[in-house]
Amino acid sequence: MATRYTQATVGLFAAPAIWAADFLAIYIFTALACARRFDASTWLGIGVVPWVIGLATLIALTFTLTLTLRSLRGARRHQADDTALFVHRLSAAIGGLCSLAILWNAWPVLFVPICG
Amino acid sequence: MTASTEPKMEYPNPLPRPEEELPLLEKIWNPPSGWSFITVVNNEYVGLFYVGAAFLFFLLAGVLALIMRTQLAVPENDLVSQGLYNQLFTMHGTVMMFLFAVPAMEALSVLLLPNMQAARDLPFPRLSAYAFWAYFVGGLIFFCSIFFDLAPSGGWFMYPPLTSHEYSPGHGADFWLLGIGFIEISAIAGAIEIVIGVLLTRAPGMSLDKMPIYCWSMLVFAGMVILAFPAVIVATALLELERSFHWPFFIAAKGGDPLLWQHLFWIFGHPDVYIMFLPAAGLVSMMVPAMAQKPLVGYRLIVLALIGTGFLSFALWVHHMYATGIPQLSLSFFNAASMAVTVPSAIQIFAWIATFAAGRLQFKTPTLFILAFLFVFVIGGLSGVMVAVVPFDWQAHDTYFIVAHLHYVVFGGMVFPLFATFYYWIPYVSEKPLSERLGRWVCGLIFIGFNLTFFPMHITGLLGMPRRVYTYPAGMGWEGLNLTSTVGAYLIAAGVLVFLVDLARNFRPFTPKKAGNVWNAGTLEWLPAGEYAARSIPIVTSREPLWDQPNLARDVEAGRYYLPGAPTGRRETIITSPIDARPLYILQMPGASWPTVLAAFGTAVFFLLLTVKLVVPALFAGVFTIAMAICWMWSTDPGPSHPPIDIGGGIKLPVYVTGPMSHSWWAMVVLIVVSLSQLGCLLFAYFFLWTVSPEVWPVGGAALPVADYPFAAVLLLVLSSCAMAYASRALRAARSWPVRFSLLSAIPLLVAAFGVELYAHWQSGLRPTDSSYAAAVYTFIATQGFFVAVVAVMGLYTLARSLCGLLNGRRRATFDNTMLFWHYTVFQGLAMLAVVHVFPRLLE
Repeated sequence: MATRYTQATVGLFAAPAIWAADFLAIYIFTALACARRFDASTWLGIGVVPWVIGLATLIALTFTLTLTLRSLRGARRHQADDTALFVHRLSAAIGGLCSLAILWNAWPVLFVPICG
Repeated sequence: MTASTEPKMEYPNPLPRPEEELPLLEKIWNPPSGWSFITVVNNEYVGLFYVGAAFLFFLLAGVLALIMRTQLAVPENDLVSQGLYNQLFTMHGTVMMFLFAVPAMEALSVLLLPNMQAARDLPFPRLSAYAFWAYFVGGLIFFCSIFFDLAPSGGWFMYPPLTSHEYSPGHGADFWLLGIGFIEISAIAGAIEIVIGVLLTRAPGMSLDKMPIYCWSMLVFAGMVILAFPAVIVATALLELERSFHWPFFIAAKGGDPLLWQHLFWIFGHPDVYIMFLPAAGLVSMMVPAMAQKPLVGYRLIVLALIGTGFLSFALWVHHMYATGIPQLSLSFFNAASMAVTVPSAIQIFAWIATFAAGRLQFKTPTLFILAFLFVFVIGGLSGVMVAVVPFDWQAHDTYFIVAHLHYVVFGGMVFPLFATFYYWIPYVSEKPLSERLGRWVCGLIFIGFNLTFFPMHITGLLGMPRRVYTYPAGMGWEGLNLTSTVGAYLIAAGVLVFLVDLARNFRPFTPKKAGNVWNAGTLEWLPAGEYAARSIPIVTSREPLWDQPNLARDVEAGRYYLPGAPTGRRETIITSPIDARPLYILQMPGASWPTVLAAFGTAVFFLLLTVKLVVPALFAGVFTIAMAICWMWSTDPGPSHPPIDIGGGIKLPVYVTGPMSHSWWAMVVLIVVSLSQLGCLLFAYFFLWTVSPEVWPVGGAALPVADYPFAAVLLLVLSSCAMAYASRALRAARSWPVRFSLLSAIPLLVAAFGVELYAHWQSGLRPTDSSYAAAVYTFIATQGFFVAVVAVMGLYTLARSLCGLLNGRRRATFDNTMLFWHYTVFQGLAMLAVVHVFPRLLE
């Protein structure tokens, strides 16, 4: 029981956990950049905040999309088992939703001033 | 639904059943009589008490709202004073949010969940009873504070510095802080029960893909309570520490920041909106198919929407804080999340509309309330999108527009579905259904009254009327709108009054005969039931078993399915696996108990006495509560007292398991998640205060205790964990005295680690009143001290069971739970030591 449950739990909740980690990371980094006034620092002509947000987004997306693909593969493998199919499809959908949410959160860095 | 053809099916148990089987089952599950009736733990009774209590608080808070609306009916009115008005709006919001909305949803789950899953009860029935009595007694005491001019007056979100000891002296704010903190603990207890109930007590075959949507919504609800509520408990603890002992978390002059409260409050507060809405949405998802006589359209998408809403709602807290000067890019993160969360909500709304469109709609009272809910909630959602837009929010902030929006969301999203629920599910518990004619009046009056009250408030707000003013001058253009809102409020009250008349005339609970499945619904709560719930526990093969499994009700009632009797002579239910609901073991459940009720009363009295600073009597109440809790729990680890039970169909199940298969192990894991969440909030507070006030932090280790102290504390903590691990091995090897010795040595090791850390900071000259840094450090120490005290009591309790011969290699659930929490406490201590001693040394 424990193994199957652990796999399902990881499948269902890993992507939201990655989304949460990404969200907190970019929020905390932006807050620190404004509080400690290093928001104007740049590297290769691009601000440090966009760099970090871009990098965090890329890493988080890599994980969530990998999880989504893995769940889709799992769904193809378990066509005959309704419950396993349901869990894999649900995990894939959650992974997709989290990927969209991660992109959606990072998007404003392209056009919104950082500290305002 | 499929056509009804009798399948050739082999049932788990043959007919006829032995004559003595049913009378024994009835006897075991009968509630106690006379005075002992209040000790009842059956979910139907506790659930109805709970729903009734929540509805009572709805009525009381509604009366407060009527007084406020009467005061605002005309300009410059002097019906109530400014001070009383402050208490009225604070109590109205607080009671509606904390004593009505969330408890009502937990109450309904106590009432509905076990039967919907064909379980005989929730897995910890005494915990449900404790949560109810603690909430009810504590809530009544809290409400009565308004009659003694002791009610809080700082608004339902109690922002400091207004609520600090300087600007809110007296006990009013303390009533809020301790009262609400304590009621949240009761809510968390309920949430743990729900998680375990949904995951482990479903009927065989009710795999995740066949689970009723309501169970999904309650699972997400409980997960959100577990993650969100510790934030408000931490917030209330910090503010109470500041008020009582002057630890300056929110005082800017000492490195504190009032915004810390806002962050912690809304980390709880925004998910709380969905904590109210998601169960209501789950209820709607159950009613819509029955009213349309059609399976729910988009089941998988709705599950996705529930989970999606659950996690996205945690990224919305700052949208209550747009006007606080947070960096613009940070605001945009929350703006984006606020927009994103509308998508899963919309999925559910489209699914309900599609189900209605696909089916044959019965225009009965529940349908009318659901249609009213859809209309009102969509308007609330749209105005929510408006206030999620930062520049608009800056204009509408703290005006009546916000009052209108929040009522459209909360009243629309929770109260209309609740009334639909009453009309839909009362036949499940009452001899007679409610009146269809009166129900239409109730719905019409509340719907018209609601829109008359709150729609004009959008305009009043846009015209500039601030919220929370006790009166306003004439000539501002607000008179007509306010009068209209007041008339609307009385119409809502008239609707509620008609509902009460309907209840008085038709509601007849606690009778053996129920009106039953008057809607031809397809889910298991409509099976014929006695005090024991369903006579036998069915095998589920679809999401609407009553539609798809012919003669299911008849066969269940005849005892053809699993566990048709009470083979161990005690209350029992089947524990099934969390994903595919395979039977795992028989859970023997405790029955009625006085100590449970007395512990609940003791808890309420403890917090009341603490609020009015009667510390010594409070300690007595605390000790009494712990004693009662120990009495209550003493019989709840029965061990493998019975050989494996044949539940039918050739399935033999053990009656006791330990380790990761055990329901109590799962409950402890969930409690650890709650504890992790509060640890996360404390860490957030520490780093937030450092971010805003680095000048009060020691730099490069200066002013920190020498490193020997934390090293000693780490060593003691690790040794304490090792002692517990050794005790576990010794228990497995059936060596009692090494177990006892290890338990006895682990306690002083843990206490010593706490003592070393406390002494280290105290001897360095640091005092908690010095600065926000000092307050944060001592809060870590106090928190760890609290956990050490809890774990020490658990350790002594486990030791006592060992000395009484109630602990051995096979009967070890109590020990396992103690050990799990012990290791968590050690982990928490290590994490706190790392933050307090390492982080400042990294600073330059």
